[in-house]
Amino acid sequence: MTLSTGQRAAVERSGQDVCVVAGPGSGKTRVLVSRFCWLVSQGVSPVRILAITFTEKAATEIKGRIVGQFSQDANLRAQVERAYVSTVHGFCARLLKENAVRAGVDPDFAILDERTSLYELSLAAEEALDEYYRLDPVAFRRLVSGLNAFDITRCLLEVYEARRACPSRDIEPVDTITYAAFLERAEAVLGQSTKGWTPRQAETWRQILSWLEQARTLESNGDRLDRFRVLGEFDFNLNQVKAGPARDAIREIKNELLPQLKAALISEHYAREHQSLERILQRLDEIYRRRKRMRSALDFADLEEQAIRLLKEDETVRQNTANLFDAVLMDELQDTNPLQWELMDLVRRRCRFFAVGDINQSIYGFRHAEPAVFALYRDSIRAQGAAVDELRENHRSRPEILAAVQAVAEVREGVERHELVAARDAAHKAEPSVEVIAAFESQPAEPAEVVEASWIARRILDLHATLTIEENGGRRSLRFSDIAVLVRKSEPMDLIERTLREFGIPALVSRGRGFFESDEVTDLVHWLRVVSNPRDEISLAAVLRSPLVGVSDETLLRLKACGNLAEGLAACESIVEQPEELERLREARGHLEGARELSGYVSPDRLISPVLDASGYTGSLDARARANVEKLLGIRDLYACESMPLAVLTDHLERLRESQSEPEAPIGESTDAVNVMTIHASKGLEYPVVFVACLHAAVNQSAPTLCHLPGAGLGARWCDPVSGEAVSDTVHKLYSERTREREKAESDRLLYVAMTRAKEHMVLSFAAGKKMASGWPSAITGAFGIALDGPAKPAEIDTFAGFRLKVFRPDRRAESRADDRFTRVEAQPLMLARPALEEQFDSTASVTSLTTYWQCPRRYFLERYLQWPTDRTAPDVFQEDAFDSDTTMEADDFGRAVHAVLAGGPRDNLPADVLEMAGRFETSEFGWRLLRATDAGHECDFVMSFEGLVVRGQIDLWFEEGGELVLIDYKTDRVDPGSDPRRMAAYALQLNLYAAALQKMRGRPVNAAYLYMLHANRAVPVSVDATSLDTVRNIVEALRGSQNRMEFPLKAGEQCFHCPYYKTACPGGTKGSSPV
Amino acid sequence: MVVLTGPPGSGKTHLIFQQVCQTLAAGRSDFRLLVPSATMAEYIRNRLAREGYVFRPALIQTFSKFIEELTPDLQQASDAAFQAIVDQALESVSPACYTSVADLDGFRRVLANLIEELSLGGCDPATIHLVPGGEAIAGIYRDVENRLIRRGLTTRAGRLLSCLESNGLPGLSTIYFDGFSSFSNLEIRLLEALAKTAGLTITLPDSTGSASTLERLLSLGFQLRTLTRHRPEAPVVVVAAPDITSEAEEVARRILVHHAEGVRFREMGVVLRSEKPYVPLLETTFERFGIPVRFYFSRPLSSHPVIQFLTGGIDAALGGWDHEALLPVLRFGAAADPSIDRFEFKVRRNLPARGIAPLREMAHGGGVQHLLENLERLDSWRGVALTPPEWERRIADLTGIVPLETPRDGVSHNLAALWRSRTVALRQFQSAVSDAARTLDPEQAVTLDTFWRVLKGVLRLNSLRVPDHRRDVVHVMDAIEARQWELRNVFVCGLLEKQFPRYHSENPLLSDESRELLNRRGFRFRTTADRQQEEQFLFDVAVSRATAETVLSYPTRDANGEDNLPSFLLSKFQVKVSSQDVRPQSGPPRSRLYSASTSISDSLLQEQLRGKHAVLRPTAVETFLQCPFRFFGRHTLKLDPAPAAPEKRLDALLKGTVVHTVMQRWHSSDGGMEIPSLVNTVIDEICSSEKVPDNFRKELARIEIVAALMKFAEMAEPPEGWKTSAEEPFELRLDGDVVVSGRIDRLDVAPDGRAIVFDYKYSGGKRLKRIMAGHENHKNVQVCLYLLAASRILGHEPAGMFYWSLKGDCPIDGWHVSLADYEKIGAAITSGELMEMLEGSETATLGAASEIRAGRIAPTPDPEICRYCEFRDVCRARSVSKTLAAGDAE
Ligand code: SF4
Repeated sequence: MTLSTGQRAAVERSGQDVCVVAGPGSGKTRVLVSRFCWLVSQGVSPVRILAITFTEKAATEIKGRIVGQFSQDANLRAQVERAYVSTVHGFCARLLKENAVRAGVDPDFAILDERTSLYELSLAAEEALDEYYRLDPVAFRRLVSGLNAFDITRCLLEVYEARRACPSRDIEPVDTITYAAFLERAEAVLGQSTKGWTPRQAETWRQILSWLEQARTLESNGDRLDRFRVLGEFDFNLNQVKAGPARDAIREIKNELLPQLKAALISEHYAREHQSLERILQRLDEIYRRRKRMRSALDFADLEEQAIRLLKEDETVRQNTANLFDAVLMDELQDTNPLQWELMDLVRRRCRFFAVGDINQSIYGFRHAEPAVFALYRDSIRAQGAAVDELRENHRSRPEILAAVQAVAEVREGVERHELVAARDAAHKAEPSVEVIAAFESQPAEPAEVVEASWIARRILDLHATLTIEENGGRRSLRFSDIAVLVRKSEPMDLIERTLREFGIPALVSRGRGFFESDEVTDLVHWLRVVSNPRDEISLAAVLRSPLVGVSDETLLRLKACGNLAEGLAACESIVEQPEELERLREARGHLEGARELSGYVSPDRLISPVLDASGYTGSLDARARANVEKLLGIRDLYACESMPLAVLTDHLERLRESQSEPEAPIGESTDAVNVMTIHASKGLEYPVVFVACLHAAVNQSAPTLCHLPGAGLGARWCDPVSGEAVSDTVHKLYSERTREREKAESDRLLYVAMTRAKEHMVLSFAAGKKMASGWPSAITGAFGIALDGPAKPAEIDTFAGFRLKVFRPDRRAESRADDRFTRVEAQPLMLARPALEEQFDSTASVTSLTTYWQCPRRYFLERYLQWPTDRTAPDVFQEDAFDSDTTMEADDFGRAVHAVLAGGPRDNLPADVLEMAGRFETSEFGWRLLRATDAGHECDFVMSFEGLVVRGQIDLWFEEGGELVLIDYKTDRVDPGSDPRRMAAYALQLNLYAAALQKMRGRPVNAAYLYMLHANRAVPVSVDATSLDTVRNIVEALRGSQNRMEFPLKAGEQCFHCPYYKTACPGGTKGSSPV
Repeated sequence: MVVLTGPPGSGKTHLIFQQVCQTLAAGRSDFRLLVPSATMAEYIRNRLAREGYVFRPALIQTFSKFIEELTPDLQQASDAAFQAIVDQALESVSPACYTSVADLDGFRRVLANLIEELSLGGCDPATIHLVPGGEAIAGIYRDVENRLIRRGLTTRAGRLLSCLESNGLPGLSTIYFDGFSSFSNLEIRLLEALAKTAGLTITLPDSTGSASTLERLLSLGFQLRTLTRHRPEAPVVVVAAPDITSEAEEVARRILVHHAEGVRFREMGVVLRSEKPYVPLLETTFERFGIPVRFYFSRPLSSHPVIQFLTGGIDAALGGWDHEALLPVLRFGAAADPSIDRFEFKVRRNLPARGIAPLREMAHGGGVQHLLENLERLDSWRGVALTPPEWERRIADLTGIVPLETPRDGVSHNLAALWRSRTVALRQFQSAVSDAARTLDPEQAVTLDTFWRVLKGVLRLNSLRVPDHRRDVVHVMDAIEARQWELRNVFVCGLLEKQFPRYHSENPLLSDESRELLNRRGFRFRTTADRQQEEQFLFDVAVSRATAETVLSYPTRDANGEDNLPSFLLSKFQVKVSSQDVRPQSGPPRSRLYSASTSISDSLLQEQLRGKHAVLRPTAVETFLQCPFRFFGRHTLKLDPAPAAPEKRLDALLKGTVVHTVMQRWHSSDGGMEIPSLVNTVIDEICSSEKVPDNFRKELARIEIVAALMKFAEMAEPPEGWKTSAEEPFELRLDGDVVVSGRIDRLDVAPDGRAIVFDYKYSGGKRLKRIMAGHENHKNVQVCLYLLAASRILGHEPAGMFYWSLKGDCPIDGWHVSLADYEKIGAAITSGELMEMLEGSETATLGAASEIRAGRIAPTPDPEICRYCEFRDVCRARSVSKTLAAGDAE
């Protein structure tokens, strides 16, 4: 990386804390990355450097770049990979995880995203309010009436969040004035002589004096309300006081002292209610904390709060943490809030801190960023006599643009002087690089905003057609995606979007919060609601009319004739005649039934995707809408929704929709579209062409009902108990004043940030004419000396106050022309057909399963494939291989005991009948043969492959005797070999498989196989030959076919009477027909 | 005694497999092959069987099962039971240093894991006591041991110790260990003991994580055999997809392409670092593309619907049958009851409520009724104390009420798997109940509450894995499971920093420093660095599984559209390709273009419309004039929404009803009633009939309404001599068959017969302005219709008409024929102009009526109205305006 001299000086500065003031485009990130690398080159281990960034995005970028720098050195690279490069939150999370016990947090804590924390917080607020209301309804009433705020929940949430971001440890009372002091000062002023005044002036003065007299009488009077009344009566025309010191003094009373006194009286009057608010806020905090703890979760504020607490209260942890790092680097210092700064202070060591920032780009005051932190740090360095590095070279914008920035924005009060030096080689351009559009209302009335929007569109098309930009040393023509339209707030975006569309310009509007309002998302959420309960007719109608189903309103009307649309849908065949409509309804119903069956078992996205795919829904959507669909399908990750009942999930989505806080889905860079976004969102970005639009639109800057002022505490705007007017208490008053100042300064910086995004070309546009709420347009016209009152002109290129500009002053809409149309060819996704499925059968089976299947496929399906419970008592305890294992479900303890005895198991404490049963075999001919056997095996379980199927089974007994290999299977059931041929045939099948296994195990064919029927006490010979094995082969084939198709027809017969599903899970029994 | 080592893919498993084959071919079964997981054992058994061998399944088994067989008399505590015992110990020892975290699940889990780690590592309480900060751990550890003894339970460490005392397995010549990367100290002691009677062959990967185990084995006299790669590394492709969904789709696409070329699904696999976030996504994606798949992951048992049903039922019983909590239970339990949807809404409408009895009343028979009766039995369980075994029996019996409707055949494999999951879940529930019972003193009677708390803890820790033996499926597993697999095509997803490799943080209870201290005394506890190094090993495992191709993929952007940082593990691979955009095949998109001409044109339906809308209300007329579709939804289709949640019932509409009712009564008392008490009465009446909960929101509404109406009352007096009446009914026959019927909110009549009408609105001043403007284009007609009625039916002389907001400062606006008393209000117009307005509204009303009957229903969006319209998701006005805008530009 080649660095400029200034950059290099900053990167290599040592022996002091470093502060780099880095203007826009001056290579801030590059400096930070280089510092990291330089430290490493100086022998600092990468894992001993802490680099803090403001966003995840920046952390990712910086880490990627640093790793890239070390690609040649495997060892260093590995260390860099593990380096601490993260956001403040990331760092806190790591700190807390590693010291969880000392910090008192769950070692496995989750981090609540903003969405969830807001949700939890609002529940906590409701609970706290409700609790307070129940506890003291009278006080609650007083509080609400006093505040005149019926959206008290929102007010509380705002102030709660502000408090957490900038906690006040010590509250200092705000300077205020007492009633007595007010009177005293007023009297001092009013002691004027009125000599030489006109009678009218003297009369006014006299009235004021008499007002004061009246006020004076209330000083000792107990009724405070009278004071409010009297103060409210101070309603004099001060122009009728003689100009001069008297008028100035009385003005001061009116404009400063009186409001101060009012604030003081209001604070006093509502002291009790103020306390109530404090109590409610405290409860809110407790409840919120409890809720988070129950979820083992921390929100973003907790991360900072708890980390600071840990570091402050636990000196060992603090020492250890500080000792972990030889250097701390911090990006975007101007965006830091006091809490974050406190944290940095706890971990940084002297002369080891390196911070980069630009106070002029501090625009996050609403998120409690405090640019003063940066200023103080910088000044402290200067005060120590150390150097502050200022990077002035701008590598981004053309000189003309920078000059405009300097003329318009840099002269504003909120922007510090910090000269930008153009460091980019820019080829000469005939057209000016800066344009101004001042749009006027058109006749017949089309608002100036509409005219402005049309001219923005017009200019986009013109620039798109004519402008070329530099890229990789060459030039290429401008793409739409090279253009950004920046606005201060999101309201005008709709108009801009609509206008761009009219002009055929592809646009990507980052409106921010409209995710749940978009068509595609509402369609799918309604689908979920219908799955949850189709009797919700609004949802069902929404779905039926949507492209998911797409039926007509007439059909809807017909369905409704059933009483409820859901009932209509259920009976659609008898209602709807139009074939296409009917087909769609049927299909929808099929999907609905399918989804309802799966509901609860699968993640909600799987309830959506079948209908989505089948209807080709996404096919007609644009890139943004497709991205929104993807985002919605991602709900599986957003919430722990798998275990959430669908109705709860849909309610939750509804709540999120109401909170309007969900941003639309991001879309990839591949789309060639103009970017429309807020200035805030553009911070850190750059575009070849930037429109700073709707400059006339100001943001509403009224202070909230409740506020938090660091150092002063909670403030509120209350109702004047007499007039009912809203009056700020002392803290609120001070807060409003400070906020006004701060916002004014920040507004200046916002303009600065917006203008410095442009690389090649910048257009400044606004609707002129009306009383403009914001000071920006006049700043522009003032700086360039553009007169707005002359006749409207579409375009002129001229030199204004030394600047070559193109200025448009249109008073009618721009036209879109036929040759402007762009046919956008969006790449269509590849359609993939579902594969034909084969071999969806199981790879393993037990011998018993095969015989069960042979006896009745339905029973096999229930008993073996699904392991359906046979009765409603508890099934066996689950084991590793309970499925399809070789223990039959009805095998009772008796049978098992007999088998165990025959396998040579212990005989103690066994019931006599077991021993007797076993004895039958032992004393039989086979028992005797077994005693003589040369080799034998009991209860041999085995695995073998038969026709590619892995079969498991268990051979009761085999032995070799007299040169014969004999196979025996004991049966303890009461099957009568003579009268139950089917069952016997099944047993025979079993034996054939055993024989096949035994043959392989012993390496010789089985000579004889017997079923030993212990009840009947007789051996039934079974033939184990090639033909019998063929039958088994066929069964395996049939089973596979069944499993493939999932078809298991029932085979009714005598065996049904022994089947555990007879008349329960088997339709054969439930139909009432006799199986035989 | 041999240790085979080598990097992943060097053929260690292959070699062992060969040896096992040879042994089996020789007809011998005096060996064991021990592997880490049951699925691996199954995989190897199947492979051997397919090679033609017939053998006893126990020859290939897990190490745990092997140890279990050696110690058949011991009863090992399940993980969940062990956790429950640790929890009990923590509660009873309760060391001060853990007070702030003792209630946290995560902490308890870390503690239980640590105690298990210590015990397997052969570190007893006395030893850990000596480590800095180990005192508290030792205390709990000791208590856990005592509790285990008291309950007759043991741990894996206990089993190992007991094995060491026995004499090994008789008759084994060889034991192979494959797939392990390390052994704990106790395990090594067992290996040492086993080696006395059998030949041991152990494979260990050539990784740092295995180094200490290897060292230990070598010191015991094992011989080292090092293998080098036996087959060439399969080519690797790195795929970057724009986002995680596209990444999954790309994997699906490639699988389908291979499959079409003849590769079996079973020859392909996906290897993940961990379950989240890919498993749910792959489930969905593979299902969408029709790819059969088997996941080697388990999911939390407690999230299974069957378990939720059971726990929900018991929770509801213990919580006094709160209807909202009970609803999901009823939904699941009576899913087959056709009336369940209707029942659900009935219950929702009635929320909040408690108790079984009211539900039974709502149910009217059917499955719901039956289920409720079953659940009601639980009532008798509350308050009794039973011994854990008795609770075990009772709760086990409860599973009988889980509905299991008859399975059909011909369904998809996925659905069958889902049915199967129910049985498995039920079984696991049973075993969890037993586990829970086992952790408690069997003699000591406890209440359901106590037993339930323990059982829920156990359930939370249980996981569910549903068996799936389908032959031709794509295998999805984590890198640890993948160790012994070999597949043709392997996909490794999620190669992002922090996902693969994962970053490990230090153990919060036993720091690396303490671990090193212990390790210096002969223990072998893994430090953070050890765990970190294992990430590389797991990656090597993942990329060495394929014989034909490995695809490594990652999403370039995260869910917020921010760039991801690709895994640094990818740096050595050069080839990088992009994913392709794919979608499952479907028909053409079926968007129906709703346009301005959308209408009901079928004559039969139009006939119906005529009947339905023979008489119109003024509000309905206005609705139509503002948006025909809204009228269609509200008055023709009368779409019935889902019941509102209790906290949402007191919405603007209901507040409006309160205000109107108050006004009506107040007027009928001639303003004699006190507004505050009147509001109290009305709001209580209405809220109780609408089941609005009595909470701070209701109070807010009350305060707001009282404040507004008090303001109103100050101004409400009619001019001297005028008479006021409220809610005057009328039926106005306009032209021919158009009838408008309604009530005039307020009618003030002067002694000379002049009349003014008022329409009360529960909305703010802004809306009032809009309504006024609406009269210009005849979108609003209400007061005009009132005044027409007053003049035509009641015979008064029209003199003025006003809208009066009953909110905030109660602004009023309207028109009057220069009435002196209304000088400051509304606009003064001539009576000619007033008549013109009335006629205009009449014409508009007649036009509306005829259009309604002609079936006009096209939406006419107006942002101000649409924002609050209940049909805004139904009408598709947003797309209408988009298409219209596009159309305009043509
Ligand atoms: S949202 Fe607007 S267009 Fe749609 S029905 Fe409602 S009022 Fe009509």
